[in-house]
Amino acid sequence: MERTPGIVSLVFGQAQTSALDEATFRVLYDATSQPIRAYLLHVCRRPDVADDLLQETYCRYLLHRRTDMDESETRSYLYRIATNLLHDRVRSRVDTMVPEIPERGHIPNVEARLDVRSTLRQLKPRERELLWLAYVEGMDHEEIATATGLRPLSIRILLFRARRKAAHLLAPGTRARGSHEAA
Amino acid sequence: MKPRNANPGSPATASGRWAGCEHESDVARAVRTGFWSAALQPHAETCPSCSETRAVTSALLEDSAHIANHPPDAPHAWLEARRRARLRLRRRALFWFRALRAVTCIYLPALLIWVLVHRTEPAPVAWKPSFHADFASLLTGPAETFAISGALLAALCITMGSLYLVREAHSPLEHSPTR
Repeated sequence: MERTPGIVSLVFGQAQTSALDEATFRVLYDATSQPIRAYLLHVCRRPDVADDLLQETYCRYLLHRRTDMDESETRSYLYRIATNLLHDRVRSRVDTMVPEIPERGHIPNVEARLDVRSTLRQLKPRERELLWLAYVEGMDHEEIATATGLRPLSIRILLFRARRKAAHLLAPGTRARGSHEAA
Repeated sequence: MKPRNANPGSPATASGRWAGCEHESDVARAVRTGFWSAALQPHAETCPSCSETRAVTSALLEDSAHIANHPPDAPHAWLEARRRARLRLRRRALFWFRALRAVTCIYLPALLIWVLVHRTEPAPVAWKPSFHADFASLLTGPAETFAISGALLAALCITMGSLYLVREAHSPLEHSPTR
């Protein structure tokens, strides 16, 4: 049976929050922050926004977490919060200008990489989320459904469409045409 | 190893069943780890679904490999989370105190009007100052309901606002002793 928070736990919920001490938080944060930030960065394409959303993700986790969650549930829960924050961000339409993400050191074959990046940018945020969770994070459909709030049966079709679109955009002919049109 | 997808242009067959390849996740994992089994590599080259999966996963990994991904350190994140939690509690307290202000803005003019209306009535000859008797006789009907609901609303606002302020005071902005 699912627990429903009463008025007492809503008002005095701070006790639950403080039950997670800093050492435990540190272990959790070190294990999960890097992939979640990579996910946020991939979808929103802005490091400052990704940092802010990452911080807000952990803040909400501390405020609203359940004590009976295992490692896998915690991971899915964090991704769910991050995804919801991304959707709020997209809905608020505050990101009209998208600057380039800073590179790490010297990059060989820069033109080809920028091409891949501009191609991936043509995908919708929802499509980028699904592709990232499925192929980079290696989540199965159930986990993706938990992380995104979609139905597990919808994930298959949405993932198929996103992959088909990405593959079409990444095809050499399409990329060359896209670059030419952009120029 | 044969692909299950009979119709590569569609995600589902005519019967409505999913027709993707069951090895897609294996291919994605192989691209991530770099470990390809002897059977999987030739399959990924021939299967349309798996070749797409390989191309997309490679592009995603290639894009992410060169992005500087340095999240803030844990102590900073911890303190920032506490700071935001306190801010959130303060905002909730503020909501109740603003509600109290709104209730006051409604009830203060109502009280003034009520006093002005009842001021003109002459006091009875046998009048003696008695708090209970005065209010019991004056606050009747709609006035009584209005006054009681106002008092309850004010009490609710003060209680809730105070509780959030107490919670905010009990969430210190410092590292925990177990650090």
